[in-house]
Amino acid sequence: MINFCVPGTRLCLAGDTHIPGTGTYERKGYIYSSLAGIVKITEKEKVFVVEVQTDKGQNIVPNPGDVVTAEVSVITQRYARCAIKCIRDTPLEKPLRALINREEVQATNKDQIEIHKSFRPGDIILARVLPIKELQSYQLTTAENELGVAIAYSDADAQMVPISWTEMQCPVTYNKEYRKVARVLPESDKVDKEK
Amino acid sequence: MLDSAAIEDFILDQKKYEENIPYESFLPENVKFKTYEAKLSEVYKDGKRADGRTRDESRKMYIKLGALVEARGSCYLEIGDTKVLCGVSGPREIPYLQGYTELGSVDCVVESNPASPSDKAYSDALKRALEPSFCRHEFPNLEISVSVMILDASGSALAAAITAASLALAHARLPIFDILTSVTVGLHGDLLFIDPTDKEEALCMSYEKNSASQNHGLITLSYMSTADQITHYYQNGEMDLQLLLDTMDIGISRCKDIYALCQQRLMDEVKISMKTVTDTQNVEDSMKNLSTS
Repeated sequence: MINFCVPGTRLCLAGDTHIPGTGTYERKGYIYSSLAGIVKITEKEKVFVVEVQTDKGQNIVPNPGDVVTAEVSVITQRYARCAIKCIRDTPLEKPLRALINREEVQATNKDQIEIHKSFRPGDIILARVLPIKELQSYQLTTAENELGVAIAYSDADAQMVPISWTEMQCPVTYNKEYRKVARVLPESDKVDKEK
Repeated sequence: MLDSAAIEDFILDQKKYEENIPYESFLPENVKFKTYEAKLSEVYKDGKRADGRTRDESRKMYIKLGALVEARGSCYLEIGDTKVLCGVSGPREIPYLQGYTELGSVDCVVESNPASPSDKAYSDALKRALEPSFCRHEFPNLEISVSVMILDASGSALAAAITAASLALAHARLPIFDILTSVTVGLHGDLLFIDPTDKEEALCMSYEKNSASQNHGLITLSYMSTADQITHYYQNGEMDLQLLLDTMDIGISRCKDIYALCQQRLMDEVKISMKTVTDTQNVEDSMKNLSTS
């Protein structure tokens, strides 16, 4: 059974058993649709989540705690400026601006962090969104083992290979460069961990 | 060769001739002075309007969703001869933003041909109308842009723009509380014109001293039907309080009619665009039925 809906369609009563999910809103004790699409009801821990599924545009916005993929654009003494390209597994249509403060680069030795020894412009990094909402751009952190530089290119335009969690080496010139390297987990490991 | 006396005579003759012609005959046809009765009979005569409608009848409407390929969502809308095209894009970052904004913003641009009124006023009106219907809390620090092109402004252009913009938002699959519909009501003396054409609008906006009452003007209402809320109200001219309330009731009932039409068109569009999703689900369901039986 497929139920279509348009914005403003009353879907069901809101209460302890039914809660509004994505694409819906609650008003005066009822759940209404805010998108045009198909109504999906999924059961989660004895509660039915009412959602609306659409064919395009996920309306995705970085929420605190999400892991994002970003490209470093500018580095200064105090912060690194970057552009969010991807939230979790969903690529964005347009990049969003974000900031990594010096203190948020790594978890240990916070007073000895130097930005130019952690990132370079052009690096692709993995980072987590912080719940700070004062500044105009999103705040990110890489203070976890799994977060940091994932892909970096050397002066010889070769993709560098991580040799420790602070260094990467160019396979062409054998030059060593400092980076805050991410311990990227292979896909198979990730699935095991989730299980 | 002409002598100077002959030339002077010719000029004098010409002047006399010109003085005898009334000044008005040099004016173009549409600016010429007309009596009030002539103006009125041009748009409204024997209970019928110039295009054959009665006063509480609105023009025929045509809606096409997805008229623009480049935009995320788009809508082409015709009401009689009025034609508008609306495109929606975003969400994107607000350039040069100072500080954090809890609610997302809606950036509206209304472009039109030189014949229609100021764009700035229409852009602001569209922004005010759309903001309450858009789920702004889902897009902190971001903005969506709505651009409307008025291709032909033959009356009720703002109402058409608001309805088209709301449908374009729904087509872009951006969250809105409800489909917004809008209608323009013109008032002249004791005559109410629903969905006026440009000539009727001009009549409603002009104030005649010798007419029976002072009521005149235009009202544009935008209304969310399921929520039963007016998001925007735009009035020109002046009118009695009781008449104003009556006018609003008529406008709201007309908005509800348009809402049913918009809902129907949107539902048709959704069913076509979601066909692949629904087909796979149908197959899955039938597979399940097979395995259980």
